[in-house]
Amino acid sequence: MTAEAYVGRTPVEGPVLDGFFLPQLNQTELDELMWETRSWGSVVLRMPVVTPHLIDLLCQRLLQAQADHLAERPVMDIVDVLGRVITQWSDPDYYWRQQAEELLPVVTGYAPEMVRRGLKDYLKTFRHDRLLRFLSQDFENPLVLDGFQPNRAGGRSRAYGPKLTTQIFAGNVPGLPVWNLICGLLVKSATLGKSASGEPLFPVLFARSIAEEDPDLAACLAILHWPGGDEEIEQAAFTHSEAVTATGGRKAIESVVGRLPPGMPFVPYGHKMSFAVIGREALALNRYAETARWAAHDASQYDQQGCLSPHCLFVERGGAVDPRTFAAALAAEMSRFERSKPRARLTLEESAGIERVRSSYEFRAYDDDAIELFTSDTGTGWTMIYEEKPERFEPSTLNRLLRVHPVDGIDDVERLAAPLRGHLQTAGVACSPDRLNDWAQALGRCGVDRICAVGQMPEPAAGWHHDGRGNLTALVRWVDIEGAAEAALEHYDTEWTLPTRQDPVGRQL
Amino acid sequence: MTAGQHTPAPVIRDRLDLRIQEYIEHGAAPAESDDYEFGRLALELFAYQYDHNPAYRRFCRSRRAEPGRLTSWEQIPPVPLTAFKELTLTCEPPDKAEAIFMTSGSTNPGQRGRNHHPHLHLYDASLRAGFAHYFLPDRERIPLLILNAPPEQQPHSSLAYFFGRLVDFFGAPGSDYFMDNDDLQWRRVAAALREAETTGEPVALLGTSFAYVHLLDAFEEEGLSFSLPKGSRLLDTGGFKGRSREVSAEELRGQFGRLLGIPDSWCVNYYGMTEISTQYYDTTLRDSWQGNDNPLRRKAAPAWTRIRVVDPESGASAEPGQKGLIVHYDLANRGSCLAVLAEDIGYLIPPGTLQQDDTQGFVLLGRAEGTEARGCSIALDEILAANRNPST
Repeated sequence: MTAEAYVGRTPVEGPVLDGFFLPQLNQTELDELMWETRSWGSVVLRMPVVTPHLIDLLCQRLLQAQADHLAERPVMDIVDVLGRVITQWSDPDYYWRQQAEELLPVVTGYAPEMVRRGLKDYLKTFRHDRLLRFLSQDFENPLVLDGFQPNRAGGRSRAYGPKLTTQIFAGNVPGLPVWNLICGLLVKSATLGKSASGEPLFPVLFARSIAEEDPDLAACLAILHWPGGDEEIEQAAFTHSEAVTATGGRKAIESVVGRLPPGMPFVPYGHKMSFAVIGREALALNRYAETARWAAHDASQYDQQGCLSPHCLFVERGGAVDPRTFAAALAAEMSRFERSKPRARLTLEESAGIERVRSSYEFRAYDDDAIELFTSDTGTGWTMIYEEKPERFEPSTLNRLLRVHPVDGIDDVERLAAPLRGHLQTAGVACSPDRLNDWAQALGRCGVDRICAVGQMPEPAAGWHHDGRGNLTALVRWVDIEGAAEAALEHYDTEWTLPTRQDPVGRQL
Repeated sequence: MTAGQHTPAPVIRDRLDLRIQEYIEHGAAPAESDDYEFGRLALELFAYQYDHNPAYRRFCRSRRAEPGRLTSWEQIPPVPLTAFKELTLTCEPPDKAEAIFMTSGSTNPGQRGRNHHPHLHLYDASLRAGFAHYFLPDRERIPLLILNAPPEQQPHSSLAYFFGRLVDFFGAPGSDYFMDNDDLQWRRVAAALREAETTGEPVALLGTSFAYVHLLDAFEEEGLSFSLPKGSRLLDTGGFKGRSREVSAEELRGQFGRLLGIPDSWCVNYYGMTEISTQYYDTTLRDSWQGNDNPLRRKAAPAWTRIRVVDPESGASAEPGQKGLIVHYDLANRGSCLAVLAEDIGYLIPPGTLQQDDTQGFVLLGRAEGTEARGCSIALDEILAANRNPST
């Protein structure tokens, strides 16, 4: 079969771009693949039709590349390369960044300005210095990735990453797969990446930017798309891999878990929910307006699609402005964000879902002063529901639908959030510094794994224990040399075991 | 009776009821359809409902719609389905209702939608006219084999009432119910079908798609199949959400043909809801009876109803052929609100194509739910389920 063998799903209009990254294959091999084109708005991507056979071949090549270029490469060398790549991305004129800023809004429907800011803020968390922090968050001494290093038990340890990791990427927020790619490289694992149909392009662009900087490193990455859950293809991928990561909903994650070979290290990033707690100090007359602006930013960025996006705000009573006034200020800020960075167009189902929630609250508000509905003037652009006595912490439909619940203190928050333990992730907080510790204790008990300032929810710091785990340590396998062994082996020091040397007159030395 | 609820002016009300009933009794697709009269009745009914249904009035005011200001039925504000859950939408005192039909409340049993019917004359007139026109154009009566519990077991089910009335109006001897509470008595169904094969007397099967799946599964397991006499037919309704296995409509009709011997066009699906008072049938049976085999399965809006398809973002009407949410305008829905915004997706068939009569055709595509949002969305029931089974 030749490159002409397209399975065209849509009439091709604009230029066809490569929606894959396969440096392991030469031109002849690429030509022999079956191809299909798929379009996202006006962006048309060419993608190979993935077969178990193709996966087998790629995995063999990836394993070879890992052995040749990654296994023995010093981790600081890898950090240097990645740091240089990120420096390139910080340049607004960088080719791949321009490509991303031009194409991703079309692919995802997100507002261009939001994509631009979002990528910039996200990528800077992988700068050289941040990567070092990332490593040291998980490894007391990152050199354990290169060789045996002293450990606390008196011996020495080395951490071996998987030779090859299958990584199933997220498609809800552009840029997220960068995290997976970097995690893999830092532990010296090759990555077979499955891009998401929601946003398949960014991991490819990022991998190509690595290839420009260091083709050997890039040879350890392959990125392509197959229909999620395809058992034969994933079977092939899992067989060759030593670890699997997956980002997705509960069903997708459970499906992967059910098909993993026994004992396979698996790092799931399931869907999570976040929220924010606004303390009375943040409602001071000279503070509440900016608090509202920051909270609106957190809820609106990437149309609330990220796990880091707040589903609701708990607002403490007793501040200079009351929670309802704050809600009105927040509504104004939601509206302002919508004007500058309009939300993506929704499917009929998504719009109908928002309308359903809106109308339900509208009707409840008829006879209940404790409920108020704030909405965009037209369409479903944003929705804010002020509700004083929520039955429970209700998940948002996303796409900028935010509930605001007044509370009397952190105990109320704990009561409402605790039932969702296991589904919670980030808590944004705005309160006086002296209360942070108590709040953090309560939030930690609820099951939250990241506490940050309101306004910074979409941008986690480097090395955050994403979903409560050390993300690098979750991938590695430790090898320990026991301290006692090192001492015991002294016994076999050849100096003691060589035949006794004697001087010419037979006198022992 | 709650304070603030008007006593309906009986004379106005009864006259309006009679005129609507007359309009319905002209038939689902009368030779001369009367758009003008439909519009007049719709606006008069709207004015009545606005005056006598306080919750609806409040809704209309928030949308700046009041009787004197509307010039066309299309401007009547449709209530979303949640209104039937959150509000008491009724023009007459709820305790005087002849029937209160309730939704099954599968997602939240504590909160069921309720449609109040002060009387059922119009409901009956609507179901008679629609059924006769689209499902029984060729005869007066037929044995109705009903795969549903009898109405007395389900007093708040509009579906059970519907089937019960059909037996009253159209059931020939041999009509019966084959579901006892949740127990489908498929052996009795098999016996009735065998008898039809023997006597050569056609029968009609009626039930939910879900009940048919169970019936066919049982038949398949037992190796039973039937070749029902010509003129036999089948009516099914509804989807499968969260119940048994999911089967596509095409797959199901294929099985109807294979296991029951009913041709594709004589298998009719209808679309109905607790919140309205009319059923929308596939036109295939009628078309086939008239010798027109339509390639596209569509549903028809009978004369006393209109379907509008809207874009939920703008609220504007979608062009024929363009997908949107379905809005019902149903004169038979006199007890609550005639205009109802459904959570179903569909599109109107462009005028002039495929239509054999003047009625409006549309294609129903399904519920506006079930698609997974792109982001980290977690449905509440998923969380509740996870909390019940901590191991998963």
